[in-house]
Amino acid sequence: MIDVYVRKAGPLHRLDPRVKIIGAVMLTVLCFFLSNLSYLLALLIFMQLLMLLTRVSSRIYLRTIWLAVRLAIIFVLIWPFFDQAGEPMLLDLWVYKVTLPGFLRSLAVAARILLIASGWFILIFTTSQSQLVRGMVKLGLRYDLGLSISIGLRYLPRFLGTMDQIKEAQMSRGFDMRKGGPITKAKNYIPILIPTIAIAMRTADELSQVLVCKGYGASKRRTYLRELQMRKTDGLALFSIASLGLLLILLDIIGLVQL
Amino acid sequence: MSVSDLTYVYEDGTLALEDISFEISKGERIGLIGENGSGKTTLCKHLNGILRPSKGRVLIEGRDIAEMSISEVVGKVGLLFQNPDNQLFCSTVTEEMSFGLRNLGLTEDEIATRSQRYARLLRIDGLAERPPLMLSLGLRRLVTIASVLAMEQDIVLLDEPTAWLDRFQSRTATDAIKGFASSGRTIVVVSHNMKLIADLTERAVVLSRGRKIADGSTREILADKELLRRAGLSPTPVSELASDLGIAGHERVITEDDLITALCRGRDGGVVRP
Amino acid sequence: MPLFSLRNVTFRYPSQEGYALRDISCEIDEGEFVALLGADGAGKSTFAKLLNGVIPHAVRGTLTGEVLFKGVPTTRLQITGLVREVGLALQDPDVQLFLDSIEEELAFGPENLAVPPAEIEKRIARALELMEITDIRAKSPKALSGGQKQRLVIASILTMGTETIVLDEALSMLDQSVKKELLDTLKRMSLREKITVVVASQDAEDIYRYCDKMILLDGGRLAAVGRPSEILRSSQVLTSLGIEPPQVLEAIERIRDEGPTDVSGRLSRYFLSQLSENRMRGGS
Repeated sequence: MIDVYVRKAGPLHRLDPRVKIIGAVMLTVLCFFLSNLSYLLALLIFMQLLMLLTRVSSRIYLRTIWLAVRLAIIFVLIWPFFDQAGEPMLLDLWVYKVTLPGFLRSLAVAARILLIASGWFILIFTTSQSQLVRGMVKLGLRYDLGLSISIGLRYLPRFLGTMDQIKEAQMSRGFDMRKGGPITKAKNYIPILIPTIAIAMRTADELSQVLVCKGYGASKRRTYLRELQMRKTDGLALFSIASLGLLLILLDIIGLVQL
Repeated sequence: MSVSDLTYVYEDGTLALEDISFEISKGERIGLIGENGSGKTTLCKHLNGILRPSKGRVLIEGRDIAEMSISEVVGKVGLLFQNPDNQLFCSTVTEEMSFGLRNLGLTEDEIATRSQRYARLLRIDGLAERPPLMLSLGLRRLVTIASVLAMEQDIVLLDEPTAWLDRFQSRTATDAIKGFASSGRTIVVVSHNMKLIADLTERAVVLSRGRKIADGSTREILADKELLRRAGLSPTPVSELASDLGIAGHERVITEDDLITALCRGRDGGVVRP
Repeated sequence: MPLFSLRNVTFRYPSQEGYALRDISCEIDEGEFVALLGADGAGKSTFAKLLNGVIPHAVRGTLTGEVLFKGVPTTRLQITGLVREVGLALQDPDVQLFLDSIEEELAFGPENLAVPPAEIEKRIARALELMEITDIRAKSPKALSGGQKQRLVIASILTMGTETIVLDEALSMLDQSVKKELLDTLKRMSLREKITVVVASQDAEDIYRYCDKMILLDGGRLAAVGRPSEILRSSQVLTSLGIEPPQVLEAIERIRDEGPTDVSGRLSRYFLSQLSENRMRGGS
């Protein structure tokens, strides 16, 4: 799940990561202002069309979008506990009251969740981990923090894989994790966690030596083989996203537009 | 044990094993060889039930392994994992060895006896109270070998048993494995070390890219240079020596003993002595 | 002047009681291909880390004696300068490869050293060529085979501009044919570019045919140093130290005892002809 970067070339892949990061942030902020269901749905459809440009496989797309869809469905389902205003009443179950306007508002919330998710998914589908970190560093993040994030992201699936191998190894010794009550089940994590932690510590130790051996920290000013450079297209995309977004928000605040 | 048409596909769609079939009889000592990535470890995990085949079946004494519980399978099949660090977690070597034995349901007395016996066999009895995680890699390896052998299952699969072991430790481990196998148990040894395979096994199964490409006597297989080349494997050094020098009977030279036999016979007929 | 010179080097890790290395004195010349052999715990890794300065700069412990690199004690050199000159490859390539693309892996080292991008580009091309993996440049590091990963690790060391490569058990987990191919490549590279190679291992098989010098360690002490033709007069030298000897050598000795003398002579000649010092060019 962690590694969903699509290894292909597409128009969105070529965009400077900073543009995509700012785009995702802009979209998130915009969603806090948007409540008009029709605008939201239009924008949502637009974002899914944009998703086609990421060349992501339908399997991965469905798996990742499902996470957001699940969250959205939960919101829609619990909404009638809290928002019971408006006419007509569609369903009245004591504390759970579904009204048409209320339902539409819950759909708007669901759409906002899906929109925000779409923006960030497009980012991670089309930006490799190191490009992401590179973009964040260019936007002001400290390099060593960026590298830590990058390495952390790389090692997380590895350690999860190690845990699976450890489970297999202990199972081969007759260890059945599923047996026993809650307390036993909790204790059952010991034969899994201890080797994982031991391996993690050994790996961290080795990795720190490897970083030293690769000259990490040798020079105050690092060079970069591939410098991030904004091209005309990047600049244009950034300008349009930023200005459109800011314009809409401004108009909404003034009251000229009802988002 | 019998494996029929075993096929295994990973989650992401790659084919790991394809149409593997063979049988293992009691008391056999089988070598499982092939390049890195040919599927040896994956196959082992099917033989002890950790992985379930996408197609095909694995039977133990006629019963489908998929229908057996963990404790039933572990009672019969043991697996030594390639990386010792994947299982060590106890505070002493003795406790580590007891872990598997306790899962088998043995009494504390039996556990103590077996732990001592196998610790002595693998020459780690002096380390009984030490924490396994603090030992050197070679010693950690010996601890896991002792732990697996102590479970005395009918079939034991050993994945690269002598990796990370120096000469002394390697000898100790191979002697222990030979002794273990001589008591009628069945062993399957996975290794990229042909010398070890020649030493420990009498039958070899060759995997290449997930398929079984050969199954026969170890001697025949290790002598078949074309087959080894196809499988990405190397003949033993004495085997190469024998063919390089064009020694009569070089096709049958796999071990040092074979070389001596080939050299001390067949010259002008008859045995030649110094 | 030798490239490396160890003088009465003794080292103790803070957490351990015994000495990891005791009174080691030996030399390594520029361009040499060295086999550093010893049993589990003999001190090979410690020795390897002394060569590139990880000990004493990044690993704590008590160091007495001197490790001289080009005549200067490593204690007086900056670690950042030392790693530029001496690279270290460990057994598990997966710990040493942690970036998204092969290009980034190769660029990481020189980027840290603030090498200008144009120069980095040149170094990448050279390293890929020396390690004979130019064709895999576009692949993902995760998709590589074990042998290719180790080549990538070594290539990423070469881009730092090092002229010494130390491999700490880096070949142990490879298939034998892959190991031999990698040794061939390393030998060719060593001869062509005058790069010093030190391979630490518990097993002398294969490596004995490539090295110019063997250093044998035993429980932290120096047991023997010399050319393969000197050290490999008997396999006992190795086996008594817990080192796996070449199978052919063991076979020769048994034949010496049990078989006709001219046969063992023939085998000995074959064996000696395999040694690097007796071959015209590197490679099999």
